[in-house]
Amino acid sequence: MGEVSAGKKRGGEKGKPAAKKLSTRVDMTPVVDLAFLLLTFFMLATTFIKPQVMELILPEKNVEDKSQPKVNEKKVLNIILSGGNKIYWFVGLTAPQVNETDYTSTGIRKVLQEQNELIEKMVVLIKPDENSTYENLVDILDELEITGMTRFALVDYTNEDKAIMAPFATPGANVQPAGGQS
Amino acid sequence: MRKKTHSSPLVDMTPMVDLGFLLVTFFMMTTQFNPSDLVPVSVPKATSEIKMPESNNTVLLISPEGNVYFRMSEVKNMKNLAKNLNNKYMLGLTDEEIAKFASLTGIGIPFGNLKQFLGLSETDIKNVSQPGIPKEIGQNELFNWLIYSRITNPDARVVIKADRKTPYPAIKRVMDTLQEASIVRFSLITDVKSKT
Repeated sequence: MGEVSAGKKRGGEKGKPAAKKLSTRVDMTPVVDLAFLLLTFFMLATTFIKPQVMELILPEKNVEDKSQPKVNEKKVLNIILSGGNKIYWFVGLTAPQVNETDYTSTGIRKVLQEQNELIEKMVVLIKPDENSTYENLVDILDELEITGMTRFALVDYTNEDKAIMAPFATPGANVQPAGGQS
Repeated sequence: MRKKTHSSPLVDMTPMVDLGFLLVTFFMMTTQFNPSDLVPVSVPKATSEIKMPESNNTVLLISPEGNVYFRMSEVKNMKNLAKNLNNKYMLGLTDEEIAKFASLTGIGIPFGNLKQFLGLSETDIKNVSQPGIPKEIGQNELFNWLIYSRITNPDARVVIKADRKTPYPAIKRVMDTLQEASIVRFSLITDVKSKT
């Protein structure tokens, strides 16, 4: 098969017409161009990262018994999501000490872990106020997921909470230093 | 004697073509053209690793201003939804308008203006800024959208795609509506974040 090597384009030794001896090879370069053009297009059009989702289950609304389950207030960790990416948290409802924290791993995550050790069967109540954003909600749900909290509820920011939060109503005014709680 | 260095500078391109088309085929198979969103939203990040199902979705797109836009993932479902709504609310949509409805990537128009909106030309429909589906108490059309999406496709899963800056009260209104419609299991679309 030496005759078909790339170097031999002219007719062979036997004197056959040159036209019949033309190489059967086709120049593939334009095909390569085309292939890579298409390749580039599809590569750019592809989104490999599929959207992730966070599952959320709310309690049924149309149940007979409208009252929400009662819990001992001493076992309740209240988390108020406030504007400006601030979190205020307190345990119980009677004259609680309100603390401020943030969404970092040394902030609310530490609070959750510490309080979970202190309080047996802790219930977390998330109360986003009207200044909080969707991102705050997703962040706090994510932190609960990371710390493995399963007993939590998304509840309204009530007037009682407003009364507790009154000293913090104006941002920056009369804010207690955060942290230092054991 | 021929010189050995006198070989042709042409390279055989065939294997490269093979490779090229293999990759083209791969990318063609894996590509899915996601419908672009009606309003650009940047979803919040979370560590959740659950993948969003590819089909049977009902997507509630919530803009940073809190406007809600509605979309079902299959054209067939969108079409049936339009037919159902048309029958129920006497919207008087023609087949052509129903087809137009089904081709949209999101709808945020009150029922009252739907026919007028679908009567516009394709370019006008793109340029018109849709006000979002009314969700206020007393005029909660989102509730009806959800009910009829359930009737249209009982397997559809509701997915909320909201912007990270959306104020919470708007989200709460949507969640309350979902609860009223007895849709208590739903998903929130998030972006990937590594665990820190």
